[in-house]
Amino acid sequence: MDLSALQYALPALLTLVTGPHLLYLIFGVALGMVFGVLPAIGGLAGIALVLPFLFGMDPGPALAMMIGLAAVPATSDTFSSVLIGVPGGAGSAATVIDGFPMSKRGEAARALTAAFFSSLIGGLFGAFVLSFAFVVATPILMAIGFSEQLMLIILALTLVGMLTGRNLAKGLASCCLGLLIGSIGAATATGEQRFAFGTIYLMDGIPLVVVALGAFALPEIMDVLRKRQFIAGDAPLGHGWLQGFRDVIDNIWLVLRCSGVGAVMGMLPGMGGGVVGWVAYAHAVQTAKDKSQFGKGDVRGVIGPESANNAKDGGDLIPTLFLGVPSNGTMALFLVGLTVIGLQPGRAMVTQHQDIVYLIIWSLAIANILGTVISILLARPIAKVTAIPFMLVAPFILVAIFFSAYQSKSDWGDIISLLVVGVVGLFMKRFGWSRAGLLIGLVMSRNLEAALYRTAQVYGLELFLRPLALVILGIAALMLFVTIRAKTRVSSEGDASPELSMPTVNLQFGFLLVLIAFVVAVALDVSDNTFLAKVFPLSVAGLALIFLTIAGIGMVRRSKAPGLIFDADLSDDPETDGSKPLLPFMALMAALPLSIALLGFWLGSVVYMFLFLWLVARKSVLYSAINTALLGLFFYVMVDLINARFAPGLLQQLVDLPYPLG
Amino acid sequence: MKHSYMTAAAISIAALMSTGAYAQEVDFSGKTIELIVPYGEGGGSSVHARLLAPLLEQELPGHPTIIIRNIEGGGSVRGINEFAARAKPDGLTIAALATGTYYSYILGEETVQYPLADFIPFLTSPYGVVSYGLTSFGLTGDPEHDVKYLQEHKAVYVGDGPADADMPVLYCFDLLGIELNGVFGVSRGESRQAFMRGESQVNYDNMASWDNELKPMVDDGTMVTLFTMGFQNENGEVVRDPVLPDTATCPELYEIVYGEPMSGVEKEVYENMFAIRMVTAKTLVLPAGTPDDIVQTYQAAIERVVARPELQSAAAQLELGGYPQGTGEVAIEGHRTASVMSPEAKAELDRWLKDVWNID
Repeated sequence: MDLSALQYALPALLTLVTGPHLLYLIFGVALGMVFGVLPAIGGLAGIALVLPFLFGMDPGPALAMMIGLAAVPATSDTFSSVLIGVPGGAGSAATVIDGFPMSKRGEAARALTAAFFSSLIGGLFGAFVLSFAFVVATPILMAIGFSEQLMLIILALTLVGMLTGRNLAKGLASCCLGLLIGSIGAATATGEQRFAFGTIYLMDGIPLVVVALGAFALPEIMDVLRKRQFIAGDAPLGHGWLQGFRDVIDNIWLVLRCSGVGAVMGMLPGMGGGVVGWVAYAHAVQTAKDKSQFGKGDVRGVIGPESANNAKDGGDLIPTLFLGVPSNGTMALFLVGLTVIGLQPGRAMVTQHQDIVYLIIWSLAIANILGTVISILLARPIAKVTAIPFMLVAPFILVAIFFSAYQSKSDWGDIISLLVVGVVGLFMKRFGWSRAGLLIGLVMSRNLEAALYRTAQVYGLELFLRPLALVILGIAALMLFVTIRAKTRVSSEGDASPELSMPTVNLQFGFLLVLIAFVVAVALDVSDNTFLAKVFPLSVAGLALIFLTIAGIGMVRRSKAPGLIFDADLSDDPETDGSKPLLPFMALMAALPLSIALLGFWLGSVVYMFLFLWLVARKSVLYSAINTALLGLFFYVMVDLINARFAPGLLQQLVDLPYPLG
Repeated sequence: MKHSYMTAAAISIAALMSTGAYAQEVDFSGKTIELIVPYGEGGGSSVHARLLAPLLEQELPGHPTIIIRNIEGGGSVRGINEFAARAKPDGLTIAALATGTYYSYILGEETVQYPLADFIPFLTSPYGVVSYGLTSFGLTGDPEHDVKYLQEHKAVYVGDGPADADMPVLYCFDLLGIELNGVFGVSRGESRQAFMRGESQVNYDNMASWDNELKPMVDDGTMVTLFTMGFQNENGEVVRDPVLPDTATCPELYEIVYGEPMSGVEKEVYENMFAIRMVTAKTLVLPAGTPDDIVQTYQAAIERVVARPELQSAAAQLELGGYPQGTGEVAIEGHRTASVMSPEAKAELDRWLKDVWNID
């Protein structure tokens, strides 16, 4: 191993801390914090914002700024995941599973500190890996062909098998549903349309982040609205800061292992960043002695995914910088930035620009430290949100979720998908179907199908002559064995005994029929396609039907299998006693897109906000008006800042209105 | 058909208006211009647009702000549909077209709702394309040998897809009688990785990656070039690509294989694809019916942009491939050739997609 490149490390650090670099880095970090805090908006929007200003800039400061922007959102997006149950990005949904229950227990402070501290270690780990990996990465990556990519995806799938909820049949069915939703749109092999009905929106599939928001955020919000006055319940707030640090120290090996998982998965091709958090979470569960608290607020469920997500940033940079193959949208834009400042990614980076590489590595490390410090300073004031009456917070969160979802494709389809997934997610949560399974299936779907098809085309049965592929397959088989033997399965859907859940069994069966109908509809739609376009969705649909049928038969026979007949609303949890009926709250949720459909996003959300605060939360007109005005101003600024777009409504169709009304 | 009547009407109305009240100096002071890029933030079109937009801002009268709006979806269809539906002919909304925009239109995809030929181009950026193959597979760099060898040994090709940006290169392979085992739905960057791992044996790339990525692999004997798509000189003739003067063009190889030059409908299809892939690889357009004074303002501004020293920098030249940029009449003519296809040529293209790649 040739480590002569290390001689550039120290001069690069000196450059970074002496020149104007540090100022730009701090600017990037500050901006990245803002974008990270907003749900589902992150580094991508940040880099897009600064790109025009990179022209004519020196490479050093420009890189420091971009790295600051790209690295920090993985730290700061924890705020929304932990505090309000809204995934801060598609990759951080795993943090919600235990982070939000901790907030509900009044342990928001502890969860946040643990998250930030483990993020810091993960981020530094990623930078460390990057500093060595770039010398040796290319031959390693060259060994990962299509067949190895396929095996890695299978390995990841077996790892996350832990997260399929109490009932295995329902869990696997949820995962298949995710895979099936992921196959909507143009087929990888042939470009044929599947289940798109001629709409351009569905041609590229439903965006991951919309499903993450719909499946996790909306049901959690409805749940809190129905059952609690504050997110933190009656628990006192504010303790646990030191506990959070201690948690990380106590679990330092877990942090390091998950960092390794994150860095490696970021580096390897064909995996997709969305699954990293889940794999780390699964690893945390698998290696824990006492698994009983996962899904109910185990701090290790926060530590694992958070350290992995930050370490991933270092890993992501490896294929981006040294092969010119960006691993995600943010990295793709980072590549554009490199071009603008006159750097060409690829082999020249390793041979001619080691000083630049080290500048990037140091920027990454310092950005992580700055991000953590700022986050911890901000944590105390921001955590107070869990102690504000939720009626006052909910409309803000709802509007923010619909706003974020619309930014993914800027199409009304985003809002409709969000609402549909939200309603389905609500029932999945209530009737004990694994939403984690759904999301994991969706995250893996495209990559799995592509890897299967590419491997079949290129290798066929010769796949089994590839030693590395066989080794990974062996590990996967081992993991599968461990997963099947595991007694505890993690559920984010709560507890409810079959006996107590019996009264609504017909309703639960009805929901199962809806799922079957969806599977059949997709299967029928794709059956007209060519073999290559339909083999994957049809196989998945077949599997889904098997698992759904098993669950269905169990329900008809009134089986007492754990988690099969399940209604979280009928659990013996004292919290549910005072809960309010579901339907009015669903109407309350649907009223927002309706208002947007009539008045357009800006006006519609402002009106909704005002009416919500005034009529539902029963605040004074003045209070409602002031808060609404602040929201309107915020979105007005956001549009200028991130080039965001507002969904148009009926009003905008009829009349040409000036911005921001139009 | 209905569409073109409406467009025609729009053009005539706009033409009437432009002769009268609008005949004053164009000034974009304090205005914001939206540049619609129909692909994602990191794509080639986006790089191209982001490279040019800041310079265009400085060269347009009144120094307007240009915002780049990436509208992805359905290839490039969604963004350009939205451009066609929403852009007023006032020069405040412009769009970037890419090869996919032309293919979707020519193949008559159902979702296409834009009148491609009516858009008014003010810049066409040509890009060369080179195809290459692995020496370990048995290729030598001798065109005659390599074509015969590939005819007899089926190579794996990994790429985007025959109905997408890969179309011209794949059509060339077919013209040369070479059958390929295609693996599709893979981006250009990933395709090159698959080639470097030896999973595919032939591949192609945009000439922008020549110096940094491809030339080293030719130099160390890993691969040889097979053919370029050629380059159109000032006289409109297809000649060897100036970047690779030693590599034969696809039509040259055709002549070696069959002993006679490409002709008839095959030639027509080739020329059309050549226009799309090479001449108008990246195009900036104004909406249909834009008044002449605004068009002329843009044409003059882009000529100044193209001449600016920033675009002569090494990095910019890498992105633009070092090819002369098409402005004025060159852009208009290139766009016209690329967006119109005769029924016979279209039938041949459909036949090829169906027979060779089983695509309807």
